[in-house]
Amino acid sequence: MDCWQGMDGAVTAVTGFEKGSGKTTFLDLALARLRPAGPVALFSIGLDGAQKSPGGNIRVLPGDVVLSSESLVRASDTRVELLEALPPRAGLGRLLLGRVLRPGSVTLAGCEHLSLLAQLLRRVREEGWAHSLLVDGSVNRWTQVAALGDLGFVFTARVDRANLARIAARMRSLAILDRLPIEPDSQALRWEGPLTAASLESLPRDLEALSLEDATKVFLEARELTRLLARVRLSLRRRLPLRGLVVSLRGLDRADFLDVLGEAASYVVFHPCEAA
Amino acid sequence: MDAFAAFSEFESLWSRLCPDSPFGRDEKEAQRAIHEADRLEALWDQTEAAGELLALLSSDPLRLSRLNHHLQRLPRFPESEGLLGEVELFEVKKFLHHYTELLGILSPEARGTFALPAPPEGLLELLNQGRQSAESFYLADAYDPTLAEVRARLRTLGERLAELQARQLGRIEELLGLRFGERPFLVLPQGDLATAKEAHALLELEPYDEGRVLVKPRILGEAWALREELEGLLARERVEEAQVLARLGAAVQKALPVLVACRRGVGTFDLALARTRLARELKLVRPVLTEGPVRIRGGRFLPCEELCARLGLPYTPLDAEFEGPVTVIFGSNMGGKTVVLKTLAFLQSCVQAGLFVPALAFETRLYRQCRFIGEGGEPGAQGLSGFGREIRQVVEALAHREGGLLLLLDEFARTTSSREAEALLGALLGDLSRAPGLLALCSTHFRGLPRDPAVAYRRMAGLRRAALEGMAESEDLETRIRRIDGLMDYRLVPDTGEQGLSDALAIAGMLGLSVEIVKKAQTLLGHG
Repeated sequence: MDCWQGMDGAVTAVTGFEKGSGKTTFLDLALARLRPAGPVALFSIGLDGAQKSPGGNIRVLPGDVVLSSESLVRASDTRVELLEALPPRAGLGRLLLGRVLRPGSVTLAGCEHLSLLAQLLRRVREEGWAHSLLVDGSVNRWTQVAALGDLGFVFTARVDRANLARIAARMRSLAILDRLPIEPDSQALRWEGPLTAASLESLPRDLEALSLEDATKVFLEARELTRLLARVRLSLRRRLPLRGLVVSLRGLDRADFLDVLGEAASYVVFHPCEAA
Repeated sequence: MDAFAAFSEFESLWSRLCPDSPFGRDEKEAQRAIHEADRLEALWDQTEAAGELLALLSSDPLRLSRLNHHLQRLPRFPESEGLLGEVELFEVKKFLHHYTELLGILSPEARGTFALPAPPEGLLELLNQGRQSAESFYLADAYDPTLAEVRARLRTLGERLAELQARQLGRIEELLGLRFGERPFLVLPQGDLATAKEAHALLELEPYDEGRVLVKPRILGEAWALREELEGLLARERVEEAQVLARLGAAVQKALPVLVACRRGVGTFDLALARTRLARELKLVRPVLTEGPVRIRGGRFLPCEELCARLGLPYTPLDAEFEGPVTVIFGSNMGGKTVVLKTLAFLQSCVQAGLFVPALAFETRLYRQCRFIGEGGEPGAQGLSGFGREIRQVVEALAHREGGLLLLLDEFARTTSSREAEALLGALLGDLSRAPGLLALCSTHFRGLPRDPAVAYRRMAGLRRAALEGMAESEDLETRIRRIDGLMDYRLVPDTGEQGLSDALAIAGMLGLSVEIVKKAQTLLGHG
C-alpha cells in the first residue's frame, strides 16, 4: 500500500497502538516524503510536552509549520516565525503556531481543546501555510480525533510474538471498518455514539441494517464485529480513510505476519527503517 | 437570566449582534443595561455615523471587505505590566498592523467620531525589523548585531555538521552499501554486517531481535566537538534573545496607554458597525428618550413577528400610548395581552442595551429597574405557592422603585380567589399610580376590578365574532389555532368598562369543547 499518496495534500492523524510503536520515526520520515509537494504542518493531540525531551523530538526544516509552545521552542535548537498565538496550556505556557526558520528538533504541544485544534487545522489550510498536515495522535483519543473534520488515519505498531494475536485482531477490525460502505443518507437504523459489546445487546433481534457515524465509533473486538456483520448490514455515514498500517516486526517473519492478517494485509506498510 | 430578560426574549436579538473583533465583543458585554441618557444618545449617534460610513463604502466593496478583514483579524494583546515574551510581542505587532490598516481605510472624521487614536509612534516599525511578513513575528537578526553574529556562527556550524554527516553517509554507502537517506536508523539482518570491519567504525549497532540489528551512523569525534560548540552558541543565543525581548517589551510597556486607547476605540467602532448592520437587517429605528408618555408606533415583537412569518400568518405591529403611570389591559384569551407586554419589554430592552428598536417610532423613558411578574417568572423560596411567589416579587419590585421602575404584571393573582384578587389588584394599582418615575402595565381578566381615575384602561380588540361561523368539528387543533389567530383583532383600544366578556366561551368552543357545554355555560351567564 502507498500511504504517502493519500497523505499528500491531506490531513492525516498518525496514531501509535502503544508506546514505542515507531510513530515518531515515522513522522520524521513522513515529513521528508511530503515536503517536496509543499510545506507540511505538524500538530499534536493531548501531548504533555514536558514529558518529552525539552530539546525536541521531531526533526524539522525551514518551511515546516509546527504547533508547540514558546518555552519548548526556546529550549530547542530551531527557531520559528510566529503565525498564530494560542491560549496557554498548563505547564507549557503560551502555545504557538510557527513556521520553522532554522533546521533543528522541536517538541510538539497539543491544544487543550480539540475544537481549537480543529479551528487551527482549518486556518492553516485557508491561509495556505501548509500543503499536507500531520497530527500526532494518541490511540485512546481516536474517537475524539474524528471531530477534527476530514482526515485519514495511519496506525503504527510494533509487533512481536507476545502481542501478535491482539494487534492482528485490531488491524483486521480496522480493515473491515475501512471497507464498510459509505451511505450518508442511509435509511437503516441510525446508531449515535459508540457501538460497544454491551450496546449490541440492545439492538433489535431482527435488525437487518445499521448506520454508524464513522469507524471511530466502533469499539468491538474483531470477532464481535465479524459476528455482527454476519447478521446485520453495516454502513457508515462518513469516511475517515485508513491510509496505512505501519508495522515494525520483532522476531517475526513478514510473510507469516501477513498470513495472519488476512485481508488486512493490503493495508500494511513495513516500517521504512526496516530492510526487507 | 432574570425574569424580565426571559420574558422579553431579548436574547434572541442580542445574540444576533455580532461584532467582528474581540474588543467589539467585550464592549457588547459591557453595554447590556445602560441607564444614562447621554451614554445612550452617544451610542445611537455612533450607530448613525457607522451607518453613514457603511453607506459610503457600499459603492466600494473592496474597501468594505478590507475593513471587515482587518477587524476580524485583530488579536487581543497583554495589557498588564510584566515580562513580555515572543508570543505577546507577536500579538501587539499583529494588532498594530491591522489597526494601522484600518485607520487607513477611515476618514479623519470617522476616526474622530469613534475616538480612534493614532497608533504609538514607531512601535510597529520596531516590531517589524528584518524580513518579516506583516502578520508574523520573530526575533530577527536585525535587532542586535551580537545576536546576528551568534546566529551566523550557528549557521556555519550547522552547515559543517551537515557536510560531515553527508560525507559519513557517503562513506557508509560506498563501503557498506547501506543507504540511510532520511532514515535515522536501519534494521538489518545480523549476517549482513558480520564480516565488515568498517561497520563498527562507522556505525553504532544495537541488537533488535533474534536475527537483526539496529544500526545508525556513529557520531564522529569532529562532529562531537562541533556539537559541543553548537550547544554553547545556542546558550549564548538565548541570552542575546532575552536582552532583545526585554528591550522590545519595555517599548511596548511604554506604549501601553496608547495601545489601550486604540483597543477601546476599535471596540467602540466595531460594535457600532455591528449595531448598524443589525438595524439595517431588521429595519430598526432610533428611539427617542422623553419625559412624556411612552409611545409605540408600529412596534414589533420580533420573535412573534418571525414566528408568524414562518407560519404564514399576518402579524399586527403594536400602536400604543401609555400616558399615566399605570395601564390595565383587558382582553380575550389568546387575544395578545401578553404580547403587548412582551413588545414593550423587548423595545425597552433594546433601548437600554444601546440598540435601535423594531418599530416605526418609539418614545420612552429610562428605568433603573425592569421587572416582570407572571408565569415563568423567578422561582421563589421553597414552600411558596404561585400566589405567594407573586406577592414576594411585588414586594421586591416595590422596594426598588426609586430611580424608575418598569413593572409588567401578566395576569397577577390569577391563582387565587377572584374576588380577593380583584380587591388586591385594585389596591396595588392605586398605590402604583401615585409612584413617581414608574410605568406599570398589568394584563388581567378581572373585569370587576375597581376603577381608579389615576389608572388607564385598555383592552385588546378581540375576536371578530361575525366571522366565527364555519368551523368544522373535524378540524385539527393546529387548524383551529390558526383560525383563532386569523379571527383575532390584536389592536389595543380604549376600554370603557362596558364590554364585560373576554371571548372565553367562544374560544373554548373553537378549541373543541363540546357545543353542549359551551351552550350551558352561556345559559349560566345569562347570554344563551
